[in-house]
Amino acid sequence: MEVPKKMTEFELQQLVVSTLAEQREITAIEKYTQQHENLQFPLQEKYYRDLMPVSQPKQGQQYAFEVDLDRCSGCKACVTACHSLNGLGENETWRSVGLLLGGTEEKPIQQHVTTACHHCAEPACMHGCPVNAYEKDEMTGIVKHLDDQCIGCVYCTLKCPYEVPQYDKAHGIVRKCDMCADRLTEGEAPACVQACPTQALAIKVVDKEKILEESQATALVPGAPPSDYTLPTTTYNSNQAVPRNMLPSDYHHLNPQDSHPPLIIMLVLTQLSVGAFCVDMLLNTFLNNPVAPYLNPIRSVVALCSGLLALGASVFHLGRPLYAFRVVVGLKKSWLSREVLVFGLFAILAVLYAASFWIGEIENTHFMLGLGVIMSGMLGVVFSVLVYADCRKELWREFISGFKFFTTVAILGFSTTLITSTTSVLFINSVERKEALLFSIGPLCLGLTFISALKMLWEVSIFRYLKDHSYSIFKRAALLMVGKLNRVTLLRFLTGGLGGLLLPLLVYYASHNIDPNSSDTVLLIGLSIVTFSLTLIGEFCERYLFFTTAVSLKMPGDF
Amino acid sequence: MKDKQSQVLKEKISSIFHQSDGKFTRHRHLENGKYGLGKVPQQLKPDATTRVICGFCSTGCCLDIHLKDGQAVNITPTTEYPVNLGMACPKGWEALTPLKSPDRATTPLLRKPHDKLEPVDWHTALSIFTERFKAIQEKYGSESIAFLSTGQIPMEEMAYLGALAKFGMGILHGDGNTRQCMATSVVSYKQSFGFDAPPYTYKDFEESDVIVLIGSNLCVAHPIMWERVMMNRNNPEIVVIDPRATETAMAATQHYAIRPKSDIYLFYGLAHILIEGGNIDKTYIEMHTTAFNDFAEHVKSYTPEFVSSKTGIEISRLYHLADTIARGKRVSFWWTMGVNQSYEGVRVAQSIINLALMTGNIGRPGTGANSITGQCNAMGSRLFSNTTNLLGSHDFTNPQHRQKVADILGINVSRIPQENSWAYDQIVDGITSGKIKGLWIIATNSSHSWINQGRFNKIIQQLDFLVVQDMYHTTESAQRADLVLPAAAWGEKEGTFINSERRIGLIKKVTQAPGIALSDFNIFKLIAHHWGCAELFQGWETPEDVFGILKKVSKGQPCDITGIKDYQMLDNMGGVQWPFKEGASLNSNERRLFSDGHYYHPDGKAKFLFEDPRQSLEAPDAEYPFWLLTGRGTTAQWHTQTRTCKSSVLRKLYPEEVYVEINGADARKLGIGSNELVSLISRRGQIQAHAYITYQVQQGQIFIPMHYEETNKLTLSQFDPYSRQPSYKACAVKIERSRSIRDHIQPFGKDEPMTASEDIQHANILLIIGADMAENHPILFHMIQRRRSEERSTRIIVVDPRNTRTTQYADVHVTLAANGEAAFLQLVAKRLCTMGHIDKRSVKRNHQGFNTYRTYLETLDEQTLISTYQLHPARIDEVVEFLAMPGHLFSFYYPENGQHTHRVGIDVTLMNLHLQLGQVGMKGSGYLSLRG
Repeated sequence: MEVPKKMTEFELQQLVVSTLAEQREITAIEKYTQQHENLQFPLQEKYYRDLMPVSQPKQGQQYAFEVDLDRCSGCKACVTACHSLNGLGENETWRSVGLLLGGTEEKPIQQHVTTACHHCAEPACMHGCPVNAYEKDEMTGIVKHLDDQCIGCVYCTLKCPYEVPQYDKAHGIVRKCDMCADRLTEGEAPACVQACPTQALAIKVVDKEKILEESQATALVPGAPPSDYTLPTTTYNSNQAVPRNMLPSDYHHLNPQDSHPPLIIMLVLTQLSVGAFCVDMLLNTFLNNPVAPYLNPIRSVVALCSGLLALGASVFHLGRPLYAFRVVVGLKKSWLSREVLVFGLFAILAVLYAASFWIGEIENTHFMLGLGVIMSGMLGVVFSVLVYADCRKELWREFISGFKFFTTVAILGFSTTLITSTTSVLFINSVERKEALLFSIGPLCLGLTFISALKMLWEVSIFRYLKDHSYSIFKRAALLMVGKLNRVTLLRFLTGGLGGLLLPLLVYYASHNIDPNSSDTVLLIGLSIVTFSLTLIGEFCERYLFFTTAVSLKMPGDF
Repeated sequence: MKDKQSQVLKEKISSIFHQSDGKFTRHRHLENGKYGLGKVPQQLKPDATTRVICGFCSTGCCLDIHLKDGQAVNITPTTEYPVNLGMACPKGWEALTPLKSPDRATTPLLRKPHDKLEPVDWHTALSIFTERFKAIQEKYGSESIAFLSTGQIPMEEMAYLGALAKFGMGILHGDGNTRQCMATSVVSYKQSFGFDAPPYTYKDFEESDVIVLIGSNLCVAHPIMWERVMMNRNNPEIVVIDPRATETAMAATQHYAIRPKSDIYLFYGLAHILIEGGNIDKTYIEMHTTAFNDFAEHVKSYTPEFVSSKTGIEISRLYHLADTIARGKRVSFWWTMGVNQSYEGVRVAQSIINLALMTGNIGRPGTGANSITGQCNAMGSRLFSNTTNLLGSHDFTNPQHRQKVADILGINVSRIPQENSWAYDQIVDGITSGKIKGLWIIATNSSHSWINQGRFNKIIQQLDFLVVQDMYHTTESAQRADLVLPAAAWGEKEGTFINSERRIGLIKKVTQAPGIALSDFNIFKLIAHHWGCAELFQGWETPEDVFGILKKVSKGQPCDITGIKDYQMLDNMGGVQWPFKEGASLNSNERRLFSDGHYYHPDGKAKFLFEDPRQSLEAPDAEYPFWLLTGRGTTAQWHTQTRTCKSSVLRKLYPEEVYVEINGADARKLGIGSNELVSLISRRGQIQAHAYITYQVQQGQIFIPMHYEETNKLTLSQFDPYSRQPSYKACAVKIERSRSIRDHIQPFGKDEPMTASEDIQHANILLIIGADMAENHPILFHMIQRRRSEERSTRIIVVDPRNTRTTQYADVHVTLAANGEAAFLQLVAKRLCTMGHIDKRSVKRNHQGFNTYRTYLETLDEQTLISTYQLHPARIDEVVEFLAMPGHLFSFYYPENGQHTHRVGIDVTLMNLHLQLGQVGMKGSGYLSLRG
């Protein structure tokens, strides 16, 4: 055999070059026979045939997922198959697998729970959507999301108790499982059903009546939200008895929820605006304020600006702000639509109201417009309350949201008016009027102190749950406030205490004891600016905690 | 016409308000993908498909790769493949994602002196590879280089590596990570059957009426094999023997939660009961086995009472289990790492084999003593890696075998070593004793996975030259290398794997490797040329050429594969199990061994092997009261996670941070709450993990998944004497609530204990002097990293002449000559003084001699110090700039390896710096002298 001589340096370098070239060739296709080139028919059908319903749903029926818990070993192939076969984004998953733990030393139990959209009989996502981007298919019962109709308001992600709709930042819309409707129409199984190695997932036809019956006073699995809210159609079957102590493995994982900064800004500033208009009106009406005509133009513009800023923020938070106008179509059922429209009306009236001061006196216009502004504003705040109350989170119940929102209206109404009132002193020449003005500040301060005290007392009362034996939603919120969110909590009470209690009293004292012509008024203005800033920060913190502590029941997660 | 127009207009207007179609809807549209795939996402619709065997575990599932415009775009499991029947676990579905990671090694990287890894071209890299290794061999002998290989590359590459290293480069010692997963099975089979021959086919899962799973969490470790169990229509008894109530135990009909490491007692005890009850197959024993009588004598003393006391299983349940086996008509025994990774694994595996033999449960459908392997090509390495065995499962010490192989390869027989290689642990010890000076690691992550990791990582610092060949440059091992060779991955090259049931399957090149990464095959080829031994490898041009050579080598062996024509045949047939001799016909593609009762010992019989149980080197005691069990965590994690952590979908499927399963009663006793961070301490190391409270583990035991880097800091170097497999699943640990971490940190110069963990949480600049904290103070370093990830403006400055793991994470790495630290700090202090950065209050209160010190600083000769200690003025400026900014400074000083001859000088200078800047006594400010 001929022994090749050793390569020279040059030859070695050439060898590297040719090896690199060879590495770049993809050989798999040309080298091997292509299998099933023109086969339209899915080969996998033989394995999922038995997992599909024999007939289509009739009247009063719909398709539903059925999970045989005894067959599920927790491999999570369903999650990845859904991801790959639906071409989801890099981090996007429409199915997830959680874990329940429990049992005793002698008989420990762990149970994986696969979950996706439950294609509820009463879909909360659909009922809440302000643009009708959800449809429940009449024939199949599939809850379908119309991606192109979606404006990315993420209200459905708050409404759905099962964390199903997922916001896709890249596209600015929400997406979710549609039970592979395109596959089902041609008799193909959904990706997850096709891919389950142990055939734990199936599609069944269920009676809607039965769903209603089975959803009373129960939950899909231990730890899950109560079923009577949305009537989820998924069935979880098992021959095992569920031990009493079965809990989701992530039951004790306590993490702050999404803070939705634009929503915080929107809520607080709309409430500020409404509050400022209301307090103005109150002052004018009841105190018969002699200086009102001089102040109203400024005050109304200030209130208006914050209102417009708020609405701007709310549009800004949409994934697709250009399509915001679509909210008109959801008026029939969505509190969010109603809220947006009423605040729209509020904004228009407020503009007119503010403008009217600058145009000149027309008989009764101020009052009528003002009344319109206040009524639409108050209605708007009521709708804001209902937007959150409708999410059925314990911490967002009507009373809680209502109390928080309306106290914000009052607190910021007082503190805004305080600032406009004190500032006005600079622009008024008459001593009498100045005195009258200073006198009018008194009630503002007292009102602010009273409402702030009431509000914070009530907020502090949540800490009594810390001693609770039960790991209730309220206890979790309190734990978050003293735990991961302790800085915001501290800031909230500091700013609230200073700006809502201490400073207003100081201003009250000062307003009664200073010479309106002295330079002390500047001090007064300074104090009221600080008061306003602190209360505003305090309310932002309160609202931040409103969102971040809103933990709720959910499907079991992984440890 | 007008109507139509107005209709269109109407629709357009209404679609402004209600739009049910558009770009987003179309984006998620599904279309028939042809190729028998059914519907696929429209944007990923393939224009070709091809089958490739999955590159993760040993199940050997087949995946259809969808190609579009020559790019691999998607994966579906192959329906018509006898292994997975159209299914895959999450890893298989996501197999393409890790290839696209930005962590891929795209070019060779060379560590420059005192610096980080820097890109070099292939020619330079391989010239240095050759030069350095040859220089070491010249100085210390040719055996002073070793290699550690893998079960993750195709067998053609393994063979090339083994032949290149041992026949070409004169290397004697080479082993693989397969030592960590199946060495025990190899030795057990070899001793019992006469050849390393797992006898089963997956169909056996479907055909058993009793399935006994031992130390095997099939649902998690081999989910697709579990699929086959679930396809069993015989309503089988599923018996799980495992200390933990695993997912598989949950799905079983009988679970025996034995005490850790009591398995051998259990199986001897079962043999005892079966023999006593006469439930043995005397004919089979007579005709096909030897040494049964000795075995029967041996198990006499393993009475149910004795066994019950050892295993913790009630006597009645022992009888029930024996009865289940006795009544079963087709009983199959399956084991995995719970048996293999033990200090007496070989004898345990054989105690299982003995049960199968004595009950005649072997060679028939649904039976067998079956070892389930770990990695995709562990079985290929058993036959063709040329490490423990000579190519083709031949024997290095047998002259005829050497001659046979030499003839087939056309090389001089003297090229073939006459001695066996050291095993993995012996190679590691060889480094300690100075016998191994150069190490070449291929496609494995020893710095993470080797038992008692801390010791390993210290030891490899003694190497003169460490080469790591891997697809990622970020693995724990690659970060420590002197030279990194970038490898093409699965999917970027060709070759064959052998799965657990002996099925040879094909992998193909479906996508391009990134940058100038090359397949391991191509790297070996280039090395052969650079080394100057290419003449040995004529005819080793392509992987398929090598496959041809391996076929020839296998001829006449029990693993004869001469009947496989070529790769195309493997592709068409759906893989072929060995043996498949030339001329044989393939009647079934799901075949098992020993249906004729003929074994591979010269007498044709299987052998009963047994021994008195051994003691573990470590067992729980008063100080370390818990057994630490390790194993797989989830189906979405693979080994050291180098690949699986690169997929965001897979990452969603498992806990991000290391966790520890603790029994509910133990947790109550220790006052540990769910998800609380606890410290776990063994005699070898300490880690922190989140408490996962469950009854799945028994009292007195804890479980930590092996996938997390931390786990092997705790494990104990203990090995099976026959297989040299590490015993990962048994060592003693204690649990402490995390506050106790402070006890392990000694503060410097202060009376009250420092709460370093709290300070780190508030520090803005972390100055580390001379300490490889990532290596030696992992918990503190973990806190540092966490602080930086939470507060991105935090800066880590490391002052160290060496390149360590810690320096890899540094924002500023100050390199200098040995003992230059004090000079560096003084120059920094001087500069800060000049800039007026003196905290007057602090100086007044704490530093009486400050003015003297300041004068001293002013007299320093900057230029001399810079040149003496090789300081970089730019680094000084950078550090001064950081320290001049407002914020909290926290420093660590640790004189490692006794390198600092003037420790006190550094200590004092550091203390002075802190006092000068007033960086003491506040939350987030301070300094620590660390001890070892």
